[in-house]
Amino acid sequence: MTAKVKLALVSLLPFCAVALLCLGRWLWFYPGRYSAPDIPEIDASQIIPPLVEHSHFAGTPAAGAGHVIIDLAHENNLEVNDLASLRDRLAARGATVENYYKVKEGEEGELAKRLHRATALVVLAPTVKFTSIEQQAIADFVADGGRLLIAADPTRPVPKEENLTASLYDILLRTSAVPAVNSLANTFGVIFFDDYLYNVEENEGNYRNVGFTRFAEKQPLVQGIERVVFFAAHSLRGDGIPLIVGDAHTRSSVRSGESDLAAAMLAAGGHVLALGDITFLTTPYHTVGDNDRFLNRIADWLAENSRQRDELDDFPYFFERPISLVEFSSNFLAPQLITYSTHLQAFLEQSGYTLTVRPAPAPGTDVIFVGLFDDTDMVEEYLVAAGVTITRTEEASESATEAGEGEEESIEETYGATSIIHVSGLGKIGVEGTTLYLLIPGDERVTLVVLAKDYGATVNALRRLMARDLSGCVPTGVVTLCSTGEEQAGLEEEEPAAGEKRAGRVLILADDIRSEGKRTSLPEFMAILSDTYDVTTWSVATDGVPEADDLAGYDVYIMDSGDYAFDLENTRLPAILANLKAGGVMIVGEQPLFPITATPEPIHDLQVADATHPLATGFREQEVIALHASESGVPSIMFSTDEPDEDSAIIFTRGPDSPATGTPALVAGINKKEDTIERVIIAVFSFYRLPEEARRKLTLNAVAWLMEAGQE
Amino acid sequence: MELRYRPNWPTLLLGSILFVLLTWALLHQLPQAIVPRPAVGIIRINDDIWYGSNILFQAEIEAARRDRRIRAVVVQFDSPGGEVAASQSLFLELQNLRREMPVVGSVDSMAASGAYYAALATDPIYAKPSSSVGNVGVWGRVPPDLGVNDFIITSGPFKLTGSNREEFLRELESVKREFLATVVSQRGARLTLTPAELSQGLLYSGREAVRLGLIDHIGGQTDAVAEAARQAGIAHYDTVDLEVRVLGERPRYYSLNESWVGAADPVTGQRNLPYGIYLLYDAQLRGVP
Repeated sequence: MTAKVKLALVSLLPFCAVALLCLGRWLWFYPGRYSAPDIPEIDASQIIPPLVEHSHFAGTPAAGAGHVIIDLAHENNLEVNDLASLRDRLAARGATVENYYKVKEGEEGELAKRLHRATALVVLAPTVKFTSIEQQAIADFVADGGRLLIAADPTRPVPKEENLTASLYDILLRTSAVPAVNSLANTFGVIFFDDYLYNVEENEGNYRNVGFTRFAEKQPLVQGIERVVFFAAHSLRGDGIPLIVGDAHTRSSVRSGESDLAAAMLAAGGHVLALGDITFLTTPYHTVGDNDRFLNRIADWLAENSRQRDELDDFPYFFERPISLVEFSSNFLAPQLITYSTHLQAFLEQSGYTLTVRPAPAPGTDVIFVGLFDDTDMVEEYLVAAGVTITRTEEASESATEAGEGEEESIEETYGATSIIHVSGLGKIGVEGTTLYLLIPGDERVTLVVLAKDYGATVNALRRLMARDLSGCVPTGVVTLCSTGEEQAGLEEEEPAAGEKRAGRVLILADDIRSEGKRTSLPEFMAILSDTYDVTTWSVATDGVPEADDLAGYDVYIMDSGDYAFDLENTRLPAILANLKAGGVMIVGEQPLFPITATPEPIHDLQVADATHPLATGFREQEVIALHASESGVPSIMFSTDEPDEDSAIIFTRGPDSPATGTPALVAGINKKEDTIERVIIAVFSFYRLPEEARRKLTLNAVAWLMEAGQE
Repeated sequence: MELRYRPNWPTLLLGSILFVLLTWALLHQLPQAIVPRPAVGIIRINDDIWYGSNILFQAEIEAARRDRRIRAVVVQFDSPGGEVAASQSLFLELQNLRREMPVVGSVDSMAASGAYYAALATDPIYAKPSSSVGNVGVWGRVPPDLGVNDFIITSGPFKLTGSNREEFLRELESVKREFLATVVSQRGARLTLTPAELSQGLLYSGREAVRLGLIDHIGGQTDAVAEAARQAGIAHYDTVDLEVRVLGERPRYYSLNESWVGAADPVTGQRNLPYGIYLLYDAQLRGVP
């Protein structure tokens, strides 16, 4: 080996060392090798969504004679053009459409007036609850054969002030309008759920645009329809017929796992159509699938007049033809009637009728006979057909013989200084101030007979008809007897038959949320009153603090705080007193009505202080009534011990075994307002503590006395 | 004459030092330079995904590419998603990176919507048992229907709004389909959910997501880093926090990241999103009454 070779080898040594080191490092740090995987690509052909298919359905509109009211009085969440499609179709069917706008508070009765003329009511996206007065008006309307379309939409909550810069949370976090729609829908056994339906398997461009292909069989509303698309719909449940039902993949946003969910329902014997969506009725969504066909079906349904108008308060809509007005009690027209017939004519024209005054009914017309009790020859056949026999003073004995004793339904009238009318099953009614209406429907003619004592009373009778003011009237079949409020001789009220309830609505409101181990007398009141009156109960613990609407429409209010502390806020007493038109309030409680620093004094017994008062009927003067034990007590200074004024009375005092003997325990008062008289009873002991017999007597006496307030 | 070696001590000392240094350089530094110690880079996607935050994420990806030591990347997700295009862009960038080196996903508290979309570019995906994963879908605020008037004349019906409600819905559906197809293609046979089930937009826990095949394993960052290293075929590696590196180099990214108009308010957590469509899960909506 030459020196050069050696030198070369030596000089390579460092490089070899480095190479070895690098190799070592490589093996140490990089034992393996990365090979890039095949990264899969997506199938781009699946990405482009299909276009929504639109179709139109013109159809042949069925002629209808309906009058449709569209409710816009409940802050309905609708845009200006939302109803255009429905309106167009209703117009094409000859139906007239009227909007019902917001009324002032306390004028909810306006709806009932409007519904007299209507054949259908459309309630879409209400966001304010219906009052009990409105609910009743609509329930009566539906019971009369009126049709109700009620719809809500999850995308139409309680509206907020909208603007382009509204925050995301303002848009998403809205107050649901479902309670508002349910306030009406529940009346007809339909429940709107606060949800939306979706289908992620098969939909119309979005999971919430659900296509429905399952329809109720043999229902004209959905006949021939194959696919309806709803654009976010509530699910519905109820007693009615599920009209449109989702498939196995259509789910509710709040009830996972449930299928076969209904989005439309027909309730109340086919008179109420409930829809979970509104968007499908609007442009352009009514052109998707068979929506347009369904919209036409709905318009057909609304435009059809299926209203039963066979009651006097349907005046004049029970008439089906032009009307003849016939005055039959004299050979010439009474001046008062001639004058008033012009008012009647104008009124009927507004309702779409023509009225002609004639000596006898013209062929092809309906007729209003107007006359006096003393000459009924022209209408005798109608009176006989209705089972009414009118007997005048001079013919009384003869008629009595003819009628016989077995004719229970006959009506017997006797004229003279003590003339009275006796109506079997109703009692005796004086002729003075009495009006008799007879409404006889018929295929060829509808006949209305109006009878009164004199022409002035006849005019008043027509005026009442036009105002549909049938207060003080008693209908029996086709006959309606009305009192005009004038003094009536010999009026005697008959006791209600067994099982028959007296007129009058009672609300028992139990303020029972304070503490455990205490109670009210609610079950006792309910047991005593429910056989006699229309009773509603409200427990603050269960039902919450009542709203003003919950308190409307009752004649008598019993507010029982029992052993609990009384709270004005819970019972809404000021609201009740402010709105009380007639009737009265009984406040029962073992605790002070207002804060008193004095020591509570339990009541162990009561003593009758005024047995002449109606409240004490059935009790003896100075009678002592022992109470069941209670720890509660009201300071005796809550009531003044001064002699009561003429409008108030002390009925019961604390008994001899109670502290503060002789101080008032139950007082009654009359509060005379400008236009109403209300009665108030305050008891500072719980009724459940009374012996059973005394409790029953006092409760019935109290409610009967309070009921009379409106008759003063 | 006898020549005697007389050492020049300073020279000798200097030479010795030089020799040691050269030897050290030759035997230590040179191999290190030639065969550097490998590293696994950590990219952190821990914010809303939008074009501003994507600048930072893109810089981290580039930093991983530039650094020859970095042989694998772990993407740490903690994000509710964000804008559609930004999420898709991140997905594509990570997918490209994965063609060069392993890219493994690791979910901290959340990879929802657009963040899960981006995570689909990583494989495998790790998460904690209670991480939130999924929320597959898209949403958007419908542009207003401005109609037509005589004060502003446009060259086309949708010039102002970009679409009408129906077209907007189709656009939304299109993005959803893209997302679903991406999940199906990237997860392949591991996925046990149908596209319809996926489209419900549910947010799953980490453990549930593993069961359904949305992700692969329950594990922490260490597991993800180990898996990334295994795929890369490296051992005895370092980890490099690429966010720290990038922000150290260009701190201005911070200010970019904080300026998104749709970012959640730091106090209330609420967002004020402009009209548009989003691959975003808004946690605030879950908690707001």
